Amino acid sequence: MLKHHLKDRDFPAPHPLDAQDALVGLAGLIAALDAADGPNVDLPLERPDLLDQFLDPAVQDALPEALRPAAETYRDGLPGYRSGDRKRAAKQHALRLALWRGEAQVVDEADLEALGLTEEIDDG
Amino acid sequence: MADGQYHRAVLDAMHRAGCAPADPAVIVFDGQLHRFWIKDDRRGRRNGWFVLYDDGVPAGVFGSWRTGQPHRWRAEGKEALTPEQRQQLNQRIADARARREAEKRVQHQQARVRAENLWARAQRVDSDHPYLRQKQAPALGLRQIKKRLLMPVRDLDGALHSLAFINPEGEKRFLTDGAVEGHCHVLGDLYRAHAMLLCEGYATGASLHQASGWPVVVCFHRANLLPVARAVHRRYPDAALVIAGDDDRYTPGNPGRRDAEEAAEEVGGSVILPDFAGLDTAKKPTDFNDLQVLGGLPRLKASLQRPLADVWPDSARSPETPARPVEPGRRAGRGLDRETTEPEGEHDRDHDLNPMLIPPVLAMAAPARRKAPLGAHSNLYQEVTDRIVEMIESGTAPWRRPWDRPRHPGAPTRPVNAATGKFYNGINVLLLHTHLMTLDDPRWCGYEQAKARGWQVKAGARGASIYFFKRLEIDDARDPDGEPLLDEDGAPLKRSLPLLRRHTVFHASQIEGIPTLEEAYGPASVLPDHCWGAEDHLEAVLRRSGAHLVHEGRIAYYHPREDRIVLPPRERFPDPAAYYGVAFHELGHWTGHATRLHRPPPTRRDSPEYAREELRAELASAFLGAELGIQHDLESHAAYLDAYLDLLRKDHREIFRAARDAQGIADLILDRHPTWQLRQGACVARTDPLPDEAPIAVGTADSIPPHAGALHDEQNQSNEPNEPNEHAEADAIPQADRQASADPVREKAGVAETASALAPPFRWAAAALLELERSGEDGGELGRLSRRIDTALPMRATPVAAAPVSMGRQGAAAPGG
Repeated sequence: MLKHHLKDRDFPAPHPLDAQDALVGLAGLIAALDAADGPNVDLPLERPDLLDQFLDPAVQDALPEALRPAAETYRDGLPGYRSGDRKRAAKQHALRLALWRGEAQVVDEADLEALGLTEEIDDG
Repeated sequence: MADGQYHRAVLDAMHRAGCAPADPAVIVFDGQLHRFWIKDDRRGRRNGWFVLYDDGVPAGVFGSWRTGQPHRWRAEGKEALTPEQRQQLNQRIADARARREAEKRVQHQQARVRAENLWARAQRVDSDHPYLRQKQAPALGLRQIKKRLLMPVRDLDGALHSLAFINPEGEKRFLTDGAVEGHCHVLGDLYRAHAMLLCEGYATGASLHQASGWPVVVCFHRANLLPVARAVHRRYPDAALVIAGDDDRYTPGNPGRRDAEEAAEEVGGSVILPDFAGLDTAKKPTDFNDLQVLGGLPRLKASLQRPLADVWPDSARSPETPARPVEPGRRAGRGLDRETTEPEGEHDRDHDLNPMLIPPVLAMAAPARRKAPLGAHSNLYQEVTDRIVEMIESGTAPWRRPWDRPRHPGAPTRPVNAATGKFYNGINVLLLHTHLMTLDDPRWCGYEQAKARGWQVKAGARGASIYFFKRLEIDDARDPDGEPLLDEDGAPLKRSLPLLRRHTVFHASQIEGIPTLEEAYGPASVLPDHCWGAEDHLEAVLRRSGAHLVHEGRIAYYHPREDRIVLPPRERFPDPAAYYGVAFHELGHWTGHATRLHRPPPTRRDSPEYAREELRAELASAFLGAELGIQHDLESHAAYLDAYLDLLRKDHREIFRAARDAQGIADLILDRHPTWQLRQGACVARTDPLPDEAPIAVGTADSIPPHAGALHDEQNQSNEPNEPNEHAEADAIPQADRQASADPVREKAGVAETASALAPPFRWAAAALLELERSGEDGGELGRLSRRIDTALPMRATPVAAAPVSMGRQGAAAPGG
């Protein structure tokens, strides 16, 4: 269940505050999904990639009323979404998901050069 | 109930079969499976088993799990069995066998758990372990608990099933109840190997691996040669299997030779046996490790050379490529669990949770898509370090394998993104080179990138993990009280966090529709001018590095204080490749001088700094080896492996730093020497870039280069947003510079340009070009280097093709993405 995942979660080191900052919106959204969890909720989107596709207008249209406020708050907090730059917003959303899932970690700015890390816009 | 007569009879039968119970009282006729301690077995072991019945004719079956041989027993003196009774007895025996097998499976499973726990608890191996010292063997893929060495017993997928323990005296034991049959310990990488060696024991395998560089499958004991050979043959049907048998000539029947020949015959392989001619055989040597201990590694190498050459002609190198596994994507060895088995976007649909049990919202919110449970943070540094450590331990460290040039001479050596044309950097170069297909074709690509270009990742393709960072932007940053944070100008503060990400890329061979190498890099028959490889090229690079080389003595080293490299005379090396391998390794150390890349020299050989520097030189040797076609010497660097492991375990970022530094070393040696130049054959410091007023091109219109910035602008116009930027340096050119040089009339008029028109990074390159023009040289490496710089930047009239997939090695001069 998402609830206990959310409850047990502490955010990645070494910048817990910044990571928390980055994830606060997503955490709110997931908390709302948790709250909506239950056998009586009639959601037509039984898809395992809901969070990945969350910004898809079709997904947004299909969200139940109870989830819409949280969804809107999250969307509006995504850089680029309000200004209509959906591509940027989608990338930022994907990064938040990756951080949430532990597929990404916050690194020191100083490490970027020291460790020879390269920035990629495109995946790959 | 059977009386004492039957009890004694079954005990006698057990005695005759060699599996009588230590305690006769354990015998009961109850139709149940029982296990017991066999007399003369080690105390506590319960290898004996029986199932006995007493209805009608007392009968049953018993045996020992150690031998695996079941024995039937039936009470004598009774009337002959009726057909019904016989059928009933057979059925009971079959049932007993099934129960025994079921119990065995459970025991194997329990043993696997114990093995995992022990393996996780085990420490790195003390390189001075008495057994390894006595056998003169490195610890490849072993661990240690107290004084016992642990050897993993794995299947060909790399799954751990059991452990073998080796004590300091060399006694070997397996984990109780662990599955061994058909399992093995692999030294090297079987994937895509043309040929591989199979042997009985670890020390034999380590000797063979050291001497030949071939992947070796350690089968633990001779009875396991055949099951393992079958399994390997099933998985790699195209690979030639060579059974390196023990020559048990002092044992009647020579069982080592017999079982090796039997296994070889079964899989269509061949057998090699150690030849001890001329050696002291007083201690009755039998295996290839004995040969190494008695005759030394050179003797072992020499003895393997011919038989292995018969199997795989290029036996001086590892017999890698293209013995493809029957099931693509399934590979032996560990460290693969980080890799996905399916294209991105698909693999995540599989999950551990039963979808039938997931309420709709939960399914939607996708907790099942998480690869790691929430709260269990992944540490990507650790992830990469673990993988490299595992490879070092198993003898497949990425720099200890041949890094060869791609088969297409025009293709770059460094892994490159097929979609963007960007070269991978640092740790990603190292990681992608662990995949041997990079040797054939350096191109990799993300799933979405491939899709966007109309290419298709093949179903079931197993991708490779790479690591890069992206910036997570945080708009509307607020303090803990919820107040918006403002920047110096009072505007809402925008922050970003660099996030290190793992991403999956697929090799060109896993992508349908991707251009062929020939389509991407031109005809393979045309050797581009910038290709390295010939011996004179190696010599030229070595000479023109400016390093002070001295040939004397028997040891190769770099002397930091005197800033010179000492190498043994060439004739002391077995071949030129060995000479250049060592020379370029030392050249790697030479780059650490304060006037070059400034890596302070270590003061003591046993210090971490020494290991750190050695690791960089090792990696740089691999990078250079790939570029220059130098065979990396596997043997001479083995002594440092323990020190490397120590380094990596203590600092999980070290491998990242090392890869970055190594690439800097290789780049400096190859073609990027911003601070040094050749003057009359001597390497002197290039203290200043060209002064502003220095002319960068004088003469005819043809010789005047179009400005780099102008050309770059043209290229950018033709590029799509995501398309590659082959000349990333040009981004550094100020806009004013670009505009100033965009005047075609000026370009064509033969008016001298000055260095002020160039961005600082280009001035050293311009200086190199001018130096070349002044010297009048037109050939040799400096000339080629200059032309390469010229093309890459570009400073001359010939623009580089913009299409990413057509980018040749010109792009190698540009920093990778």
